[in-house]
Amino acid sequence: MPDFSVVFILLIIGLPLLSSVFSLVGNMYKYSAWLIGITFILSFTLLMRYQNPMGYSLPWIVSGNISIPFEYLVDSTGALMLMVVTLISTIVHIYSLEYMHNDTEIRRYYAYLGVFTSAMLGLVIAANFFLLFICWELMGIFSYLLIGFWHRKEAARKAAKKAFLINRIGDIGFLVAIFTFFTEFNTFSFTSVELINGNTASILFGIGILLAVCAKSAQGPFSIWLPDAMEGPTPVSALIHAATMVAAGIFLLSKTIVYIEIPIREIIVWTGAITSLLAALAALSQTDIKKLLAYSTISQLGFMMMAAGTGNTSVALFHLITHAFFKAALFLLAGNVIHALHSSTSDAQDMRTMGGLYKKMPVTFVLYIISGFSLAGLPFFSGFLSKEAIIGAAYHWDNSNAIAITTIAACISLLTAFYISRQIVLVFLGNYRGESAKPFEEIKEATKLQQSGLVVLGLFSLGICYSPNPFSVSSNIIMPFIGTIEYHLHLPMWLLFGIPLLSVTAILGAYLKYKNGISAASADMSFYEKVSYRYFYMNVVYEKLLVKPTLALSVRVAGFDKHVLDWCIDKFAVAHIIMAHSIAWIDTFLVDGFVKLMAALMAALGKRITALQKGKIQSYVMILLVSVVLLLLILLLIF
Amino acid sequence: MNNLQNYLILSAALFCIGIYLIITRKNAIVILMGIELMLNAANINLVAFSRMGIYQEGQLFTLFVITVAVAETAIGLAIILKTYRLFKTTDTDSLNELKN
Repeated sequence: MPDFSVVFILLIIGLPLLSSVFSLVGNMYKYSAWLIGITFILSFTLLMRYQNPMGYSLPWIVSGNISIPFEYLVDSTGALMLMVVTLISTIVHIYSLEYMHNDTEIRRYYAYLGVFTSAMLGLVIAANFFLLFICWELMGIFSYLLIGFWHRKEAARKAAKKAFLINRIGDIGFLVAIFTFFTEFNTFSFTSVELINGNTASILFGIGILLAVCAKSAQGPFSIWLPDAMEGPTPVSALIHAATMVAAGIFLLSKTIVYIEIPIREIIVWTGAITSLLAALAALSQTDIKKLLAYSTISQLGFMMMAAGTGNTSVALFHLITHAFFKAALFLLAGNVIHALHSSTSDAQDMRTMGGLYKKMPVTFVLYIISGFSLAGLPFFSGFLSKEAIIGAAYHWDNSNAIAITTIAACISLLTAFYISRQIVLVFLGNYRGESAKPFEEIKEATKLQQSGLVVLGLFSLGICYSPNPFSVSSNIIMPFIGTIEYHLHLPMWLLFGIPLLSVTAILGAYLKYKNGISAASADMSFYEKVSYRYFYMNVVYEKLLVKPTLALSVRVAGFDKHVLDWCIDKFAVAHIIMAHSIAWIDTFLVDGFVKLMAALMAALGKRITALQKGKIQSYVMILLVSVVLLLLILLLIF
Repeated sequence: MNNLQNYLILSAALFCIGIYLIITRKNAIVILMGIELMLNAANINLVAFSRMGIYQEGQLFTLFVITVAVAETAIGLAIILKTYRLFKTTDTDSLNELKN
């Protein structure tokens, strides 16, 4: 197998790139899904026949004592993640064939998707920080390009800029962390076994990683880019902002948590918990389908951060995988609804003009319920297993605040159940409220092609895939791949069953409250609704505190550049000209004048001398006489 | 001996008059007269010194001088005659073709 594995890995990384390049040519984009599908089959094979970690390393950058090899390492986690990412990517590629069917720039879209997939796969199996950072940056760029795909829309452009800038801040943290790591351990590779033995890097490393993860996975104050990122096409949201890119942050955390000291881990747990709570509260009052799912993503990522911070990376990764499936399913199903309700007069994403769609879109409805209940964490669904695992990790956390965190996590579970059932009720149940924009008869279910992929995702949202015992979080086929084989975070029974029961109550409550829809006017929102709707006015605060002053400063600086610097340069040029003129004057008057003076002197002298020759003989005689007399006198005087 | 001084003064006076004529007068013939005067003044000088018994050959030399003076005067007059025919005047001021 060792020989084949290298080829497998190369193909897995290379085929999406190939699909990306081919998509730019003519109508080849239609076949890009095939290439990604092949990649999925390869990674599935790799997973099934997995025995030992395999990797290879080529010497790449060598400078003095520092050597950065080009190395990949596919361990168990990596193999599993490869399969998950390629599966979701394949489904998104297939789905996009229908969803983006009428878009003229579809080639560019598939090109971006291909490179993005390749970058994510590279990130999953990178064995040193250098390669990981390269893939991290690539994903940041492609997130920008894909969010701003419909670049003629101003909102999309602004959202893309926002995402990229915030990502950049995280990158600074990441770089600081990498450099700290290198200073301490003198290598960029984090898979060297001898390091994973209780050595922690300095506080700076932890802070850097925290910053990077928060920016990439939209946590804490950096979470504002994710709701805005919904300006991108829905399949993009499914791939990037549910399953892969935002998960990259959690993935990084899981790889590096061993090097992070306890105080920072505590900060990570609390950041995750608070962000999760705030996002869940914000999701309660959203009216846009995709924005609600975006806040839900932030909330679930907070859950994963919580779990990772307690040290239980396997639990976090488990939730990452289940979340990837059901969230991607939810996004694509929302895409179905948006595509069906698409009209030129109204916003197809506004839930206030939906309702009663279960009659027209039954398959979507059923799959939405499956994925939604999985998100809510009801038993028999995959979300239950992973969510209970996280709450168990919080419960068993070795910290004085474990109970508080567990309570917060439980509350968030209830809120999640509430908001997702609110969404289901508003969108699918009740009466159709959007008659004026799009007549009810015109609504069509998604095509068979789209449905097939969604059914696959829905299947993976069910609990049976992961564990034969639907209530046990320990007998789990995924666990051996991603973490410790013995898994002993059993929850007490009352917690294990109490939360789902309360969730069911929340679901019923949501149904009763929203079965008649909500009014279309947003003016009659209560104070709490407003705060939640505007995500605690975070965007407003940032706008006032950061954006406006920076823009004002840049205007000032531009003015300085124009008025002061340009003035100096102009005056300098004028000084040059003056100098040139004065040199010319010197040349004309002084130098030439001197020459002319000499010439005039000579002429005058010559004139005087020629005056001696008057042609008068008598004057010659006179001169002769005078000179003879003078001579005689001199002779006389001397002698 | 006393007379020697008188003769020398006379000679000098004649010489000066001759120079005065050459320098000042416009007429070419008068210039020739001036030259004659100068020559004769030199003659007087020569004879005076010879009479004193110092230089016996003085008188002899005087004869030579007279001869040369005659020849030179003849040629001078010939030149003036030729010049007169060319320029139609004996005014030396108008003989300034060498000027400048």
